[in-house]
Amino acid sequence: MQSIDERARPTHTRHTTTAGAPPSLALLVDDARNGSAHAFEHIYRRLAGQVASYLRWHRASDPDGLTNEVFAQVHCNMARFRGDDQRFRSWLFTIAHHRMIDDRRRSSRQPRVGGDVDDDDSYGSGDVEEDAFADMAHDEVRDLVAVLSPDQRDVVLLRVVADLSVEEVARLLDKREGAVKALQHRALAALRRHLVQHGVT
Amino acid sequence: MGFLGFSRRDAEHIIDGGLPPGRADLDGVRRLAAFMRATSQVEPPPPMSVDLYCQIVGFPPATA
Repeated sequence: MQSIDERARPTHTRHTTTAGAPPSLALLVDDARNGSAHAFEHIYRRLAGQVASYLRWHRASDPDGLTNEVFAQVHCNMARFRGDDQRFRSWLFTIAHHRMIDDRRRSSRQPRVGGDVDDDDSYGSGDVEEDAFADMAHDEVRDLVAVLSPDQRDVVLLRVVADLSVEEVARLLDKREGAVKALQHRALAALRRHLVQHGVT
Repeated sequence: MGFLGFSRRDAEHIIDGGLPPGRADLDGVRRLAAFMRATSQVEPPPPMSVDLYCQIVGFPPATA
């Protein structure tokens, strides 16, 4: 809990650490809810990459632009948000998921012009240790996920890429927890079959 | 174990990044899940758009 004196300081000082420890997401959410632009920028820097990755795995047409739209919507509704940091992450990915669905509908109505939208090189920009997959072309890896049904894909990406719990995914997708567990089970079985067929063991 | 060749509990292990005991045959799918998680953790935030920046600092939208 912050002291009153600490609370009275300008908010930007609370987000600057000298010992290298980043400010907690809970603190940032609290300050952003109270109107701190600095705290919101910190939240963006911390979570926008994960949101962009989630949208990219879903093959959104413009993951970076869509990520900005997601955070714009979050910012608009920030003052009304109630909950802790984990609840905030769940809320953020709920918005990202709905934006992705809107994008998919929009894209399905528009013919593609020009090159493949997935020709980016965003994967592999960091130290990804799972080298068997890092060595594969990015589209090949994403094609693995494309073998899943839409429901299975939603569950796996929300569980793994967005790092949400079964309970959070169930709430987001309006499904029972048992249904989410069944979908992730079938999804992994389908991925396993596909990997075996393609000689990845 | 079920008709899928592994149990729901095994699937939960894999989603959490682990390998169920005695199930080396599931290592391929475990590594895929780990790769997916890793890509999301290393992806840098995309550049913040001018419109979003203006929105959060309270300036009029740049495209207005």
